[in-house]
Amino acid sequence: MKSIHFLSNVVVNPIQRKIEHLLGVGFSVSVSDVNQVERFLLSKRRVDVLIIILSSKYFFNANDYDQIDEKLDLLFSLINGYREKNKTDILLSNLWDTSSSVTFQERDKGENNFRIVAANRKILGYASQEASVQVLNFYELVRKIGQDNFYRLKMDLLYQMPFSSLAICSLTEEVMLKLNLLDGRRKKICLVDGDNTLWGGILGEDGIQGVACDQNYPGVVYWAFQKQLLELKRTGVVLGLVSKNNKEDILSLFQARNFPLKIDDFSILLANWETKSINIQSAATHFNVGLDSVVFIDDSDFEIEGVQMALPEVLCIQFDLLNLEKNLSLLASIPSLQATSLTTEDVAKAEQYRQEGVRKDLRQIFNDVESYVRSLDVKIECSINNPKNLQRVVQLFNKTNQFNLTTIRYQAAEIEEIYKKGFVFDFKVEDKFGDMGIVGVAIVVNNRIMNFALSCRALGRDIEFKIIAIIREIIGNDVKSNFILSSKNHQTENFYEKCGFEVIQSHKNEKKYRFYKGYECQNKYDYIQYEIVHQEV
Amino acid sequence: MNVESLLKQVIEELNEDWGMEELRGFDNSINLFEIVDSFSLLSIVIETELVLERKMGRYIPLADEDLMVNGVSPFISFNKWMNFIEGKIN
Repeated sequence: MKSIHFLSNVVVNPIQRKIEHLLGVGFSVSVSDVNQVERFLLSKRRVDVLIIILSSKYFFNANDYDQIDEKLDLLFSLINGYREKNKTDILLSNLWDTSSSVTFQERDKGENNFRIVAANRKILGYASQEASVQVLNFYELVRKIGQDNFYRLKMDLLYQMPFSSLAICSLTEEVMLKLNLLDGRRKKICLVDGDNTLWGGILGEDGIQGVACDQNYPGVVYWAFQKQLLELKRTGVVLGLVSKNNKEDILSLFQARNFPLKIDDFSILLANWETKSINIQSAATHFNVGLDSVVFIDDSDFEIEGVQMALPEVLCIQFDLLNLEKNLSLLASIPSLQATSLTTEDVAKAEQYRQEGVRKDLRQIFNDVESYVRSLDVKIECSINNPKNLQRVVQLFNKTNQFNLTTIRYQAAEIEEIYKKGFVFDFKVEDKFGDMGIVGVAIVVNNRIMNFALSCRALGRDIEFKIIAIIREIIGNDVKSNFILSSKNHQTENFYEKCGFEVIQSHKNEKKYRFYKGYECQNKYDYIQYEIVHQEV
Repeated sequence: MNVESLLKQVIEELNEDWGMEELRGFDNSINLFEIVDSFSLLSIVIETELVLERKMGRYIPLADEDLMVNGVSPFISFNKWMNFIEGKIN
């Protein structure tokens, strides 16, 4: 059971109860009494996730803003001390001004606001250095819904409960969003319709110059939406265009019009007259990802319903033609498109998927995998217990479903614990088409491979087999391994058998294996080079 | 505006999260002050504020020194809570 605990200087029980209800079984959600922040952080009680919500009066009273820095420093040191002992994920609220302070000089009003913004920068700076600390952006929520709608002064003064009902709903959403982000399950592919979604109007009817995407309304909405998609791509989500149009027409449109998105920004272009669900399925196959990694955006009820029926795992989002400007908050409102902090691999992903397409074309030329892999000139860099890669290791274990030998998930703190008693391997792969980044992770404790996960985009070039060969070579002894069948990892069911391991125990969905030191594997995958670049044991 | 059904709806909706058996189909004599803890009473207050604001088009603050005081709290019966709200509206 995962334990989540709230700490605050105000009453946050209504939020805690909503979170408890939303998370359901498998979670224990508790809350300390008001103003027990320091006491809890100094205590020995361990929880998996600590949610710290601090209203502005924790940091300053009336106009006394001078203490903010000092209080923040103290708070950070208490949190660091607690995390060192407990390896807990932290969600920390930033500051929002609900103080009853009054100022009679117009100039001071701006100054005070500046101090809160500066404090929030400091909180953000602190969180960006700590993989397991995330910021709850309450400042932005207050800005969005307005202080009068957010804050209840009399409730605060009477019962130390300063939040309106609206605030509680917004705060709950923000907490849930950040809890989901801690799990690291971000969508990988965003497939977007063309007509009335990327541009206003129907290309086939309105023509290249007739569709709207420019600086005038309504074209400006589509222009801004394309810019947002471009930003999404910059953060590593792969874009695809799925449109019921002739491919040549789409290409001509992008050539003739100067849109924010260029045709090369789409890693896949599916412009044809097939059903959207067939196209989405083929895009997922092309990128080697599960359908649950795909977001599909379209303006049509018919298309959205069709995809939802045929491919229920795909997240379908409707582009709203009746409230056009509402679409500009569409992408930001999809929790599974948000990222807490981006790894190098995240950012490089769009380019990597493009490379994958080129590899697929090359694959068709060769008759066997070995010749194909040889032609790719694959190189693996192996790191052992490298804290610099911790974030990516956690992300891979938590995001990978198909090639994940046990589907056991890990928090950063747990991986840090394993550094002390075993090996956390990460494998960076590159070939002649480019750098794929870290795509494989494995945990070995007491000569047993406790878990092994490989990004699906690295499959099909014997990397998984080479990784096991590398681990065997490094361990230099009998190697044991575990497998747990899940609803999504069927393709790996006989993976260890293929690597030459012997089943020594099999029970229900679990298998345990051993590879005896004296065994020789027929194929050593010598055509894949490898190098240990970091070893900290 | 039917204040009774509105207030009952607020409590029933909140109880979807709380899952309290005593609050399913309750009658007007129910002593909310005894049955529901103080944090849940606060939730009833702020949720009622929101619903009233939406219905009336203006914010009516319901926070009151007596809300949590045994013996005088309007939560000692649903009828009294209803009277309290009607007093605030008028």
